[in-house]
Amino acid sequence: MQENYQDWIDRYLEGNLPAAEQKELLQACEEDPALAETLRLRQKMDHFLQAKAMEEERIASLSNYQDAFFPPENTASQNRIIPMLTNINWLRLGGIAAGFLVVLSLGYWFWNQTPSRLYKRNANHYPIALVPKGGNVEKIDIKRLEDAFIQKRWGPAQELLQEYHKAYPNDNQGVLYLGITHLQKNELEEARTHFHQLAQGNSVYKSEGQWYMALSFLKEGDTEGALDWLAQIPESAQRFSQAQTLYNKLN
Amino acid sequence: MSVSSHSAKAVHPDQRLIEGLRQNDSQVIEEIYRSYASDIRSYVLANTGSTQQAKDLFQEGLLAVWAQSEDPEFKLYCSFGYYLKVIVQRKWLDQLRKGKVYQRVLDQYQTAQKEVSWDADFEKIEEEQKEMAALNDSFTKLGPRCQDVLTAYKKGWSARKIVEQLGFASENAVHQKKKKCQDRWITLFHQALKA
Repeated sequence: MQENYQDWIDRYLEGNLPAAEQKELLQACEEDPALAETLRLRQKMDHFLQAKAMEEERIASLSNYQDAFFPPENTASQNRIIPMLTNINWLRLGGIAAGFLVVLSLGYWFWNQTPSRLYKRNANHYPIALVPKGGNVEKIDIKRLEDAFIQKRWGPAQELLQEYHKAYPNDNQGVLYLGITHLQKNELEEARTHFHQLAQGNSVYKSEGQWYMALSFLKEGDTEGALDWLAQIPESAQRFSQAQTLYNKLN
Repeated sequence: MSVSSHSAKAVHPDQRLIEGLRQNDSQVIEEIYRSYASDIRSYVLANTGSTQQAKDLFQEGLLAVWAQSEDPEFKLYCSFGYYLKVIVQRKWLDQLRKGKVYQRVLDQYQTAQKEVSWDADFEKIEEEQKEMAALNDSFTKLGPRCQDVLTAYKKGWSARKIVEQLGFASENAVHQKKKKCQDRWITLFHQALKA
């Protein structure tokens, strides 16, 4: 009897379970109603995912029919009569105002914990201090580059960092800061290409790459993506404490 | 429990529409719109809904049936129109929640349940729809990261492609995430079913 049912079911659903094992699985289901129920549910989930994977395409294919069979309604018939406020109940109004204030305060608290607020609070970059090694030093104005970055002029900073990256493709600090300019400009795919390169490598910028991968997901509100990367930042990293605090808030 | 589990009952001739959806047959889709769009529109408008709401409900209902058609075992034991209307009514009830219109739609829904007992096993359809709704709710609660990973697997993406496209650290991290997401989905599904 196979112990790891999940793996067994996975392979069955993927069509990778040999015929003899399929027979064994179905036999086991006949003997074990709980396993049969698990398999049935996993099949349902599988069909559901299949439909999800096709959903966008299906919605697109329905759009013409939707418009043809449900033409816009006559707006005149949809006009609503809004009653006037005639009798003001001040006590009730006061209650509503108090409730509104409570909701507003709670709303502010929750708003402060939203991914976008947490991103803004955590997107603090270490000062840039590029140290070019050999190559075309004289061709790139490092001072102008660093000033642009410090002054948060992300467009010019990015242009200069791209030049720098071209001249020093192995300089990981350049890669990191180039990624940051993309992140700041909301060019998340490009940003992740650079951060991922660092996170996958073994340079001293590895944990910075992981941290910024997390921030890139946080910026688009993908909490789970951020959590995945935060969990990988090692205790030895400079960002560890900040990463832990953020992880706990998101989790 | 599946509507398809009624081995004693005859499969309804409208099963051909399910087969058509399964094959993405555009003629069948048009036939469904021609046959049922007007009825659903009238129904929603008669219950204080708007044309836009009818349009959205029809699309949601049709997508739900289409999703169910993914299951090769899925069989219709009632007319397609009836089945679609039950789904739309349920979705409409969810939107209306409480209030006078809610009660009216609920009454109609329950009356329909009694009237058509000769035609379909209403309870089975109810169970099927509850299960589908629970699957959908629990999938939504999984969060975008899990949704993306599970859907990517279903699209046939390799673990390497998922690493590259979704920004994972390694293929192993993707496999672990998939397993974790599946387990969480099952837990959330059972919670949603009980709610």
